[in-house]
Amino acid sequence: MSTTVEPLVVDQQWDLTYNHTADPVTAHFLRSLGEGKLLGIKCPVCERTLAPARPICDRDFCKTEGWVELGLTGTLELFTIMNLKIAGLPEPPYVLAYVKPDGSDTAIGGFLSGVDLSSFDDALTHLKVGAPTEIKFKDEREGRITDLYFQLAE
Amino acid sequence: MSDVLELNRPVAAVGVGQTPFTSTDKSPTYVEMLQRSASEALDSASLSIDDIDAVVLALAPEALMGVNHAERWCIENLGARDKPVLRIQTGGATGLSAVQAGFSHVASGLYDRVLVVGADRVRESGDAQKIFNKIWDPFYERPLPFTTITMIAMSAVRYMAKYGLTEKQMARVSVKAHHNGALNPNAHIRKEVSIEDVLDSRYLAWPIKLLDACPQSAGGCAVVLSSADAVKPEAQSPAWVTGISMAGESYFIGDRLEVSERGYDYGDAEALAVAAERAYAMAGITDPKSQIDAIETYASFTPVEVHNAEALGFADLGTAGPLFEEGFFDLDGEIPLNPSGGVICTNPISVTAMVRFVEAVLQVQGNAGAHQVEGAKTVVATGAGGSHQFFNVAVVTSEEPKK
Repeated sequence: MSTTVEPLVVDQQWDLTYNHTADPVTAHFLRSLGEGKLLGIKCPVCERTLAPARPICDRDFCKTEGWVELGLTGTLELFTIMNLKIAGLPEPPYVLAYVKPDGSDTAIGGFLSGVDLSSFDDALTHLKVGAPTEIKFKDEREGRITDLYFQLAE
Repeated sequence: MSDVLELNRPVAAVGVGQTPFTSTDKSPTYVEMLQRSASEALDSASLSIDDIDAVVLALAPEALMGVNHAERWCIENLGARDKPVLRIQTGGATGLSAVQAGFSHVASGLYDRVLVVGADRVRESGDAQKIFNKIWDPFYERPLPFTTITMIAMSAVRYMAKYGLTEKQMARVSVKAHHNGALNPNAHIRKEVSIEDVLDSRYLAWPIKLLDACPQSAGGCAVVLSSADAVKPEAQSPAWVTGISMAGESYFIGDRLEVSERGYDYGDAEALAVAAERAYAMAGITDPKSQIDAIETYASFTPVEVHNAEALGFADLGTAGPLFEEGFFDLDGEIPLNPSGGVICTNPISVTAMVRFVEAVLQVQGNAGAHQVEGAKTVVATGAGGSHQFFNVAVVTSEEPKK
């Protein structure tokens, strides 16, 4: 029967606002980005340096402590060329990447710019897991993770 | 933590049900699909809802369903008034997590018979990928346009860099999946494709192409779990759940790049290997290749089938790609992997992992029809959810465990 009945469809929109509060470690990390500094935080048990910084070590379930300033060079660990248009997300194509800053044991996600994407084949001759990468700060910063972006090293 | 659970009260799947899977615009409503799959599962178990002690619901997150607290309207529509109800949600792992919850209900002795049921209409909202972006934390990840597609594309890039997997090998996985799906009357996508079709399909996020990816499906799925004492003789042959386990990965993808003691990183599926080791130990499986007859694994994109085959113990790390090309995992191969067509052909997310379990049950009952693996006695089902993060594994077998 259902195949012969014209469906009755009701449109609904959710228009919701949330106010998310960062913990003090995350807040300090993000505010430092606004000042043009990339920080990591140490785990006292496994002694890894975690960037982006967070209050608890995921391995040891203990509080992290001890800030270190990281350099602005690193290694390309993961990437993809996003090619699908999704409503509310940026216009493709663009490169998303995870880069491990030198001196950090973990990687940070961000946009990777400066690669010509008119041919994926050509782009992929440059984009390689393990490629040396520069971590850049935007000129206009607002204390957000997107103050950072990546570029392949010359 | 003890790795091996001593199972004192065997648990059997005595009934299964699933609707045909379709696109959301062609599908019935949530409650109709819950009812249909639940009725089919109860009928195949020769039981009625009155015989059921508790219900476990597998339902999508609120933003995908567009309804808060949707377990409310699932009660009267299933005839489950006054019964204990539990709602489970672990992303794509939900369906098998719900089975695990039902299993625990029965194995503990709390209940004798449990109905595990769910339904999904992934395109109830046209903004599914926008909602998936909200699984990432608001400070470090969500300001970036991460989606479930980019998350798997980046894992695949890592795997390719480590082991040399090719896009052609990924395409071969898709060809196998679509071949099997065409044989499965419940599959959403039932169309054969060629290697060239896959390679010529457009990139979603390099190296993932349209035909490497799952669809967004609608449908319902249900399982009746029973203690051994409560199995009715007139029911379909019981499928015994001899192993069930779950493991979760660390939250941030950027924390999963260091190579572990097992030799795994984000390119692989370490938590799946951990969950498999536990489920195999529970089920007494020491050599998966000789003791397991088929695999139904949650792989929403082709490269995931490749690293899952390794994590589940059917190939050494980094070696599964060529095995797919050789037909090792084909329906008539050594170890058929996703004989139903798998997630590449059907992805009603919140029940997708339950479909893996139901397909495993059908296989060991000999009821899988055109995609039956001949003589299948023991089959593994897996689920995956979160950011390539939550993994569960169940071992289903036709042989009644010794008490």
